[in-house]
Amino acid sequence: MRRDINPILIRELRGRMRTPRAFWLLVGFLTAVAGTALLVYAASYLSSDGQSSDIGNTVFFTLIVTAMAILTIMAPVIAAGSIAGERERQTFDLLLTSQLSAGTIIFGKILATLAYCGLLLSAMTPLIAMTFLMGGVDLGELFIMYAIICASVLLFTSCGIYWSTRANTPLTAIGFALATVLGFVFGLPLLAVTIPIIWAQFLDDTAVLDAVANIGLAAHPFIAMYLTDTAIRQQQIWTHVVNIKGFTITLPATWIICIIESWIISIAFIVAAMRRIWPMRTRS
Amino acid sequence: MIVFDKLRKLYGDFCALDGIDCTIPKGATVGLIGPNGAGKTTSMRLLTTLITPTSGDVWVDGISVNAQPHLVRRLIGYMPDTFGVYEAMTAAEYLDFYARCYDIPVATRPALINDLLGLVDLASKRDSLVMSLSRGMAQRLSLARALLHDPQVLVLDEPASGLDPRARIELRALLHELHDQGKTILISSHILSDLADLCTHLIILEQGKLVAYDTITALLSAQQSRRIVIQTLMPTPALYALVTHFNYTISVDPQLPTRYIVQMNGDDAAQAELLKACIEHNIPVQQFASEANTLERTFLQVTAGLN
Repeated sequence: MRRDINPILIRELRGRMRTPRAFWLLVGFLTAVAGTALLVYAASYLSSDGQSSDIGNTVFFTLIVTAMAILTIMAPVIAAGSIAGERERQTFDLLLTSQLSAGTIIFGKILATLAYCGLLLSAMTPLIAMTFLMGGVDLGELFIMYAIICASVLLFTSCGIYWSTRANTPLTAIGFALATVLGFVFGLPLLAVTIPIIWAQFLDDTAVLDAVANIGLAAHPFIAMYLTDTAIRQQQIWTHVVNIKGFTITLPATWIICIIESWIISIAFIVAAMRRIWPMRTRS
Repeated sequence: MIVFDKLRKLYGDFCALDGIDCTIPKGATVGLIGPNGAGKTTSMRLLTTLITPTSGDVWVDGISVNAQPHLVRRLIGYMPDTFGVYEAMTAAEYLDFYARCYDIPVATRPALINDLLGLVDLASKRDSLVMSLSRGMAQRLSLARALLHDPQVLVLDEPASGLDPRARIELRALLHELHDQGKTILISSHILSDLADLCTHLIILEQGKLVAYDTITALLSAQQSRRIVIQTLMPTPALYALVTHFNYTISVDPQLPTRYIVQMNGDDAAQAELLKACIEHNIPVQQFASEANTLERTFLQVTAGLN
């Protein structure tokens, strides 16, 4: 018998794409990304010596970072409204009394959010293609940056879904989800700055701290993007090397650590969300 | 079919259900009545596996709600008191979505949806947006949704609330039809006249306790107190003295000099004895009628003094 596609996914996509909101969000996203890239292009063109590949790389990086910045807000907001929205519409009990498992409900909501974010990223493709015409960007770098974005969007979506299972109204869920995500985005660099200063008061050797910070900060999408861009220029795509007290340790590249860490935290959020929505639901 | 087994539910210190014990037979239509906060919705949410009991269990067709909730969900169609709507979805899409949620095979889905829309008289609204349906139509669509997986048990929480008289009559007819199909129906409502017409059994809850559970007929006839209307041709003071001193009289309400309402205990024989006494005392009785026991009166009598 043919297995049906997740019904929650179908309903979410159908419901979302039929409203004008989806269209206007897409227009807003592309305007913001293209507008920022255009400004950076103009500034780079006027200030540089006309080296096309440098401008291409700068515009590419701007596009990617702007898209990531918008999705950092958008993904948790969309996800946070999902389960809490069902509660507010009073449709949640009907889902719980159906044959859907907690996993199907949660994954349906996550996939629907990811699909919409995927649509936004896909719509950005013509802008990305233009940076290839300028040079300074290769396909590998594009895939790596997209992999970081996808992993981070999954992380922020999972965070949104988790708060959505905890709150009774979408507004509360969105508030908590945004506070968590923005706390992570702004709090982690703040820790990265303050901890070494405190550390240096007590210990001279900061090599261990550097290594730990390197791994910890990798979960941060913007830091991971910056470190990856630098590493790619140094031809270090897959690994990076750290020295601790004379020992040379080879670690996976920052973008790989970013993806692994994002996955682990996402799984933790997803499991917590599944446990939250339905203590009674068991499949024996 | 449904067994509530020493069912108890606590919300913190508040006892929402306190040791409910009863067995509902297959094919029965059971009315669940009680004031707000009596435990009706809690009972329904326990039965539909939305919440877990503090102690005790509910068994549906021999399956425990505690142990195998997913199997119980296959047997139960639930219609909550509110009709939740999704934006931009037609009636057919609404049913199709829930049919997917119940793992109904894709091959049988279109025919099933058409049949159900026909059953609830919404075939003409197939492609109308759910949000545009009237309250009555929405309730019928909700009932169709509850029937998608052909459940043996229907749990309906306040299905007639907010409906206009016509919609209520249509819904009642639909529930009669489902009863005739052999469905076991548990229905909560504040509209007792509807329940009297629909139900075979009645559960009366008060402050989380089961106050009464029996067939409607048994509950109505079990109430010993009855109201007798006695109307005379002319004012007859002797009648007041007669009924006041009658053995079974509880109270006398002289509404007019020629009209008395007598609240009395006793059965049909006691009523006949009162009529005989009136005739023997030469009281010019024009009308002597016993008011039928209504569900409202039964409910008031059963729950009297519990607050």
